[in-house]
Amino acid sequence: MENNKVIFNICKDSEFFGRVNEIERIYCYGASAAKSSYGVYLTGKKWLGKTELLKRVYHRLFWEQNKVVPVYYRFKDIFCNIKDFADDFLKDFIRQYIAFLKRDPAIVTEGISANKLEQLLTDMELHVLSRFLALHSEGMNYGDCAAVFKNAINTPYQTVALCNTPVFLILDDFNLTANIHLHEGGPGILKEYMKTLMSGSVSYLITGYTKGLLEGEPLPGSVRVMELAGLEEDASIGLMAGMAERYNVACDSEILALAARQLEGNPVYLKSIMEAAKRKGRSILTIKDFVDLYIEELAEGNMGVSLGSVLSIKSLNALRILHACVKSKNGISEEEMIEKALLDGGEMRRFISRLCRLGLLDTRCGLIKWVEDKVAEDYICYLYETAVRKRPAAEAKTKIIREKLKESFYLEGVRISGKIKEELPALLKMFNGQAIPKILFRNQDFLAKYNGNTYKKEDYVKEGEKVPLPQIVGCSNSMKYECADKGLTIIVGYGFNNSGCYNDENEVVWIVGVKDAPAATHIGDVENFARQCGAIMSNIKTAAVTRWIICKEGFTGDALKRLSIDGIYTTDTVQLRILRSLVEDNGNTTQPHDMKGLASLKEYEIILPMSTRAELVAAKAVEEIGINMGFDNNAVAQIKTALVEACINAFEHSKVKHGKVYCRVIAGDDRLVINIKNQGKDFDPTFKHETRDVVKLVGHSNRGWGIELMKHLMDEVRFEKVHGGTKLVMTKYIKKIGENVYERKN
Amino acid sequence: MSGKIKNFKELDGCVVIYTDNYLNDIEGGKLEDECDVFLNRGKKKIVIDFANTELVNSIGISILVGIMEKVKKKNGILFFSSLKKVNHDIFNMLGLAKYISIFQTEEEAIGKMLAHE
Repeated sequence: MENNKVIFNICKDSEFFGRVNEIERIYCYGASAAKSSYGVYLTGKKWLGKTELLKRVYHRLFWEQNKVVPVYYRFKDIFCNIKDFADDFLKDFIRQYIAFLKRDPAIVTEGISANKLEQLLTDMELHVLSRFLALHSEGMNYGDCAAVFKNAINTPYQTVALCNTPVFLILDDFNLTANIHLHEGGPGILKEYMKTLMSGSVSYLITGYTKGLLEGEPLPGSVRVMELAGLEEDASIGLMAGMAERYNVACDSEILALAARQLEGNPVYLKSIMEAAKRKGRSILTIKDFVDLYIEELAEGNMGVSLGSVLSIKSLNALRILHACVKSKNGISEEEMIEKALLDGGEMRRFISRLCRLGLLDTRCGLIKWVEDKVAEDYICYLYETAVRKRPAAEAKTKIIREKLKESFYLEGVRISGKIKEELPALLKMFNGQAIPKILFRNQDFLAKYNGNTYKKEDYVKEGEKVPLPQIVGCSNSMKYECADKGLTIIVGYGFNNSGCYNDENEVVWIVGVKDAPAATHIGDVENFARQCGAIMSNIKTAAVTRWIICKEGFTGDALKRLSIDGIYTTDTVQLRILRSLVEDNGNTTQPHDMKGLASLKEYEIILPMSTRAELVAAKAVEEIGINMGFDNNAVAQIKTALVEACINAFEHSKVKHGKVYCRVIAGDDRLVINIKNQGKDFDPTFKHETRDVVKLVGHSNRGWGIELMKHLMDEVRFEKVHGGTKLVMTKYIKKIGENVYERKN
Repeated sequence: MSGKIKNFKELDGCVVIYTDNYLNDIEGGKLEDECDVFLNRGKKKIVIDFANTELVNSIGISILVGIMEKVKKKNGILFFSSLKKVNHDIFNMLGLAKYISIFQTEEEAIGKMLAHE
């Protein structure tokens, strides 16, 4: 937003992500206040960006339409009495009203005095508002709190009625009105204010932390409830990635996605992590990088300070209460709590009531329950470990780090499951003779061996019996084979056993059933799958069929027994993650069963840093390899040029500071295979210029036709999307006599 | 202009510039600067000799295209010479050969250049 149009301070546009739909929706509510009046209650946890969102709505209403007067007011915690609030609110309302009519935001931003306000009202002949100011002054002089309060909150309604200009009231942190009292010792003004809002002819939007704004009473049906959740994953990643680029923080998009899930899309937390990374000069390339930063921020950083201020835990007993709530899944009764906390009942109730208003505790249904907020939970646990259990800070942090690493690792696996259907075809096509531990295809064995521990890495599973994967050459989904009753999503992979013989006898088919739904595969699913497989197998001629079910949530006991009897492979998301990692690591290494084939393969790995001319190191190495293999000089030159091109493309598209490019060269009997892998942003390898005439391309840019160059120089070029980046695979065959290796392969 | 110019030969009618072993963005940039110097001095007949160049990348080629445009704008003449087979193939594939004359040797290129009016 341009600086001269900003009325209420907002964060930079580059740090505000998502919320497009919410802003539009509320803007439309406001703009349509001219036609009818209604109320909206915007609810959401602290720090989700409600205030930022509303200020942006206000700016739009101020500048983009002229029919409805927008008024934004944020309740403050600092009001000691009703007179302070009434004075603040009334003057703010009048300033914003005049500012809108005069199209002069300075009236708001400069906070003009009461005298000047009166002068303006006189000049504009807004006698109605002058009268309210006069009544206010009179009430203040006489100390009549009730009159002052009623005058203030009724002013918008009277103004609308008398001036015939609609108003849209945005009352931010409305829940704080519960802390403003008409009389000392009396109830807060929240309920009475609500009555006024609902009775009048003014459209309004109020905000709070919990759905139960009226403390146990439901909101009237005339009030629309809008719930604001954390930022969506894409918006969270966008926010963090943008900050990473500005702050020069190296990061991995997959880890940012994980961070977004851990931090539940809370913009304040997301920004805190990035600012901490910048401050400490750290990167966020691995799960551990993120978890370390997170714990430090909680224990000693801004996140911890902010949470401490909000929770305002003033005693160890209060900490015990919170910790008990956090640890109890089903909630605790008040009696149990009084017993545990050793607190005075009144003091405890006040503490709990405050946390309920903040949306951290819920006392409906007679039990005190913690309302999920992972970050606050971790903070409370850390405080409890250090303050109550007296553990050293380092030990308390380590405990939480271990838990967070496990949780993050599991979340990584769960995320993969969301994309199983999309990524499975690409994974199947990477099957090329790798020998994969059988335990990754037998869920019950995997669970039995690892006791359901979901955070095992591939190093633990490499021993044991292996399954030789075929070479899958293509995939299809099973649309045309589907039974009337829909079962699992089926993907069929076609290929050959990796013996190098492409004949009928070696043809294989893998029928893979995928269940993404949040429920374990049960016996019904198994029977459906068996029927679907039957239909598919009746249409294909090959006898070598492997059946495999991948399920996000695992399998029931009965399903596993039946699947085991039927010889159907079973894999959950954790096994799948490990399997994918092993398949990717093996790359395109062909592993033919005959020993002669195995012995003739030589692999070389070069890791290139991002520095000038680093690609020449790889080029020199591949020159030696190529000459040894028997390529002629021209072919070697072609390979070198293609490799250099691939490396600079990988550097360019990595966009990860201090990233590396991994170059693997595999020298076989008849071919040289080069794998180039980078870290970071994927790039679209389908980008193609319509013309091959590079002179017609504009300027000194190298956009896209480097890929054409590689395809011209090598016999095969393909891209594979892999975890955390992109892999380029290039192959050059040794020329046989009479064969023209300069023919382009498309 | 970056660096000292050492890799050139000035003749009566033209100048021959010799490229580096690896024509990338940096060396391409230097080459472009060198051409600019000669063009600004009125030397509009330029031969770029690639005898020493083993490797080119796409950024280097983009820069060559830029040089071709500059020479054309100044109504100059630009020839390439002594391209290794792989680079000659690349230039053919990319269509450069349609816009510029490519000679097997430096002498051939110079001969044609001097004969050009």
